[in-house]
Amino acid sequence: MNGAERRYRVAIRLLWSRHLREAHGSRAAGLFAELHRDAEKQGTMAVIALWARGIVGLLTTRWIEWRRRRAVIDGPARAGMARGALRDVRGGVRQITRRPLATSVILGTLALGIGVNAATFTVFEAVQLSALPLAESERLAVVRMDSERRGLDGWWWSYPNIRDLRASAEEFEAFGVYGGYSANLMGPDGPARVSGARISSGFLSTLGIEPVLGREFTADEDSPNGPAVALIGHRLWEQNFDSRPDVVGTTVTLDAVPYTVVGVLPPAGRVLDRLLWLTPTGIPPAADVFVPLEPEAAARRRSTSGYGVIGRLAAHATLASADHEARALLESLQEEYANEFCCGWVGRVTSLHEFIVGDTGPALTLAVLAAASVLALVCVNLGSLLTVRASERSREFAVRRALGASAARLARQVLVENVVVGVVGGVLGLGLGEALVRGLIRVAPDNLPRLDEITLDGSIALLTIAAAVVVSIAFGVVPALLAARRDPAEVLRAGQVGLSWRGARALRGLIGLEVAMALVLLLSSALLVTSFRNLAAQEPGYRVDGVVAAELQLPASLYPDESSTAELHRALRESLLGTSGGNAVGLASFAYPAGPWTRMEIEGETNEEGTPAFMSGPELAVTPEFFATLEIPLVAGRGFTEADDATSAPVLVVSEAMAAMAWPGANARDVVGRRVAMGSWRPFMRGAGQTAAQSREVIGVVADVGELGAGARVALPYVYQPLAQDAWLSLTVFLRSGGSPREAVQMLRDAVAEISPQLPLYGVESLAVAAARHSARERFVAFLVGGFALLAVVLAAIGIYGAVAYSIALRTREIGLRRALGATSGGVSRVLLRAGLAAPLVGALVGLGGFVLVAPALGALLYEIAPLDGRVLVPACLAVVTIAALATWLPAHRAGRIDPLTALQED
Amino acid sequence: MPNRRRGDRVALHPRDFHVLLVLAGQPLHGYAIVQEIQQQSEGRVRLDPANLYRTLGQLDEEGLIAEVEPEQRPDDARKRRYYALTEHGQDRLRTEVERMRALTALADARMDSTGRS
Repeated sequence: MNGAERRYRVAIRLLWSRHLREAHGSRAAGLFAELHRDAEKQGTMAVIALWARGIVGLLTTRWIEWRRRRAVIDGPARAGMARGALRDVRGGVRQITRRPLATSVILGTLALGIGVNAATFTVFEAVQLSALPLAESERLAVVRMDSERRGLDGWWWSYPNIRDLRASAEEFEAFGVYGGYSANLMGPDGPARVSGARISSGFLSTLGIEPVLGREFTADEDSPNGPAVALIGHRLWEQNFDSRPDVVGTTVTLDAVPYTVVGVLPPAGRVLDRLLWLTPTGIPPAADVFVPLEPEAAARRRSTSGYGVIGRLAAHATLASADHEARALLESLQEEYANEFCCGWVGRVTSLHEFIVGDTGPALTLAVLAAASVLALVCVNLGSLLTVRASERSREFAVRRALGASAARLARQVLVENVVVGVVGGVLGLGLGEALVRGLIRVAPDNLPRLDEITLDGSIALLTIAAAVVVSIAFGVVPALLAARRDPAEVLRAGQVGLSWRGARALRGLIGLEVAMALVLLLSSALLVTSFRNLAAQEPGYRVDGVVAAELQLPASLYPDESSTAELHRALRESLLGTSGGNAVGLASFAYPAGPWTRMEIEGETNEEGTPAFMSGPELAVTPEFFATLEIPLVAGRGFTEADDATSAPVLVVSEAMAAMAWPGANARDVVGRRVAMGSWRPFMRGAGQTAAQSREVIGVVADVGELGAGARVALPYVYQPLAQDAWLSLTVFLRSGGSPREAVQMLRDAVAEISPQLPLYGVESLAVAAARHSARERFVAFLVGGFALLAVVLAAIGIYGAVAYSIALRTREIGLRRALGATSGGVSRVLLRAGLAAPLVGALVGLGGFVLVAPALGALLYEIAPLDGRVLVPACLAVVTIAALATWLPAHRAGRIDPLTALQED
Repeated sequence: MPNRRRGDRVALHPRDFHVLLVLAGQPLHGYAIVQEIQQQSEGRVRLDPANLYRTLGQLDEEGLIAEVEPEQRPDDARKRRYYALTEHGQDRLRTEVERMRALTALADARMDSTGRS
């Protein structure tokens, strides 16, 4: 079924009775699709004509059916009236087709406003309002914690804390716990990197997800020494196992260890992907492999970073009571284990919905507001168009009234006409809306949640058509009725058809309103676009241009000891540096934002309570060239050298944020030489286990780095160790070269393939591309609102032009007279321009005032620009006033050149 | 209940007439009916799907046309429905044509006697 047929079916559903639908619906739709194909070959006009004919056909058949039924039920008495109403519909259709240009402007405006609004509201509703596609998703909540003291929001609980929560919670009936996971999967074509999650035994049932095959992990399997079992995702099942039903019970090899497959998950959808994306380690989203959580989590300490916790609320519980419980528990835990907590954490429970939809809230609300303003602008434009049209017809009405037509009869006719306009406009708008939704999905960023669930649904369709009908009645019928009420004799005597004084004032008011709204929209969008550009230009504190990164996971079987990893590091470096002079290569255990947080004791410092001071921060092990490759400046002391290896004294470089937190008040130079004792938990290291705390000397301080694409808003307290002293099995290679990113990526692949063909390379990406992806949401909103603003300005210009041209047309005789009496063409233009410009200027002032009122609300969305920044305000105001002046000047200028003779001969 | 308007002495609605006329040649499916009518009216009559099927339904109800199985079905993915004139339909069309012929003859005679311009 193609798009046209689907839309026509929607129209059938909306316009036809069930009886008609069942009798002719699918045949009519099939035929329409064929005719549509023919029309497409003939061009856009043919398609529009077909749609118009199609919709009118649906309406008339529906009407005829209704009439026949009434005729059967009520007998001939009603037939006369029914014929009258049918005549009105025909009259309405004739009115529409008689003046194709005016009608297409009206229908186009209507369809535009409704389509844009329907599309935006659909996206908004799908993302924001509707429930998640999980069983009783409103009872699912996420447990996290915040630290006001450190300015940290939404951090995960560590595993011992989660265990205590699970043991004591009364407000939750079940918990699902998960953390990031990725592994080398041995497949038919060699190893490939796959990711997924470590999940607790109750994870799937808590979320209400049923495996399509097999079962989820049992409590026995989810234990520190449980069997090696795995669940596989739907995609992997299709790709690697050809959707074989007997996959349960077979083995998959992950990081060289065989795991027994116990089940297959349903297609993930973005909910699961999004959850995984929000894992503490930020492993890229994919739901391919799942293994039990406990084997890794059981040995975790209270002070390390944690896991995601989703709870299903108990029957009696509310979000507030659960929040209260989590707060109280975390508070008592912090008292009990004062040594293990650093930052004054406060527990927080939020709904899963809020967690997933997250901070898209204000941005989408803004887009919806912008779309609503466009709809309002469309209404205003329609208002002025229809007002003009109604007044044009006041003479026709006067004649008909003089000939004996009742006011009610005229009113009915206008009503029917406008309903026809409304319905046709609404259906066209619906088509446009659907096309827009499709377009939006295509350009929307991947990190806008739940996009896969978006479709234009029936209730929104109905709503838009209703809106169209109401708008066209409100602005089409009322002015017409006012026109019909005027004394026929007076109207006919006046000779010149024109607006009443009241009508003219209303028109000027509408123009002013239009300009005001367009200005507000333009200002908001200009601010957003500027803000986005600031954000995009913001360096995260390290170089992204020309740098590509790739990740490697070294199997412990191939790299059993530190010398073998050191050898790999050396070979990689030589291979990548060797080919040309301009390259720089840095290796690190993780990419930013780095992996595991580690607990550090600050030697020689004490807390307020007199206990040894400690804190946590993300730890990276790096090569000496790392800082130079990413151009992270050294603030004090020295960086690492080749001499800092496994045999030399343990050393440390800290970030400025770390220095400021650990030694408040000390300047960077004083920090060099201080000591920190740290162990680290290395889930990816061979022989998994906690290393003993080791005292390390701080030899240097480097500048802070921020998040990609988010500006340097949160500077995390990074600590760096030499890779030679702390060899991880995970490795990220940063290569800065003079060539293109593609060449750099190829160079990386070649080097790795040559050195160790068994190693899969993953997460290969240019950092500049990654940065662009991280700011995709801001770009999307800027793009949306910018589009709306452009639309608004165009609409306002059309409205002004139409209204001024019309009022000038009414004054043709007067202009001719003035010219005949000696006025110059310039003089006439000036008079008209002055009269026409008053309304737009007042509108611009009102808009400016209105913007000052709403500006503070915008502040939260803006980056490094104030809502009332003159650099944005002035050009935007100038642009709107200039466009308004141009739209007024064009018809005024033309009027000035009217030949007095022709003008006076008119009428 | 057959509509009285469609009694044999009353003129056929132009749309119905066109449909019967194109079906007089051969059985056709909906798309072909629309095409043929458009051609035979030189583009003046364009039927929309809704009205076409309503008309076909009504003519069927009145026994003027019927759905038939075509002698040879072209290789076509979708199962099209073909319509053909019934005997009653042929009679009705013939009556209508005769009525029109009589009318045009009358008109010709009148216009001849009043003089041509």
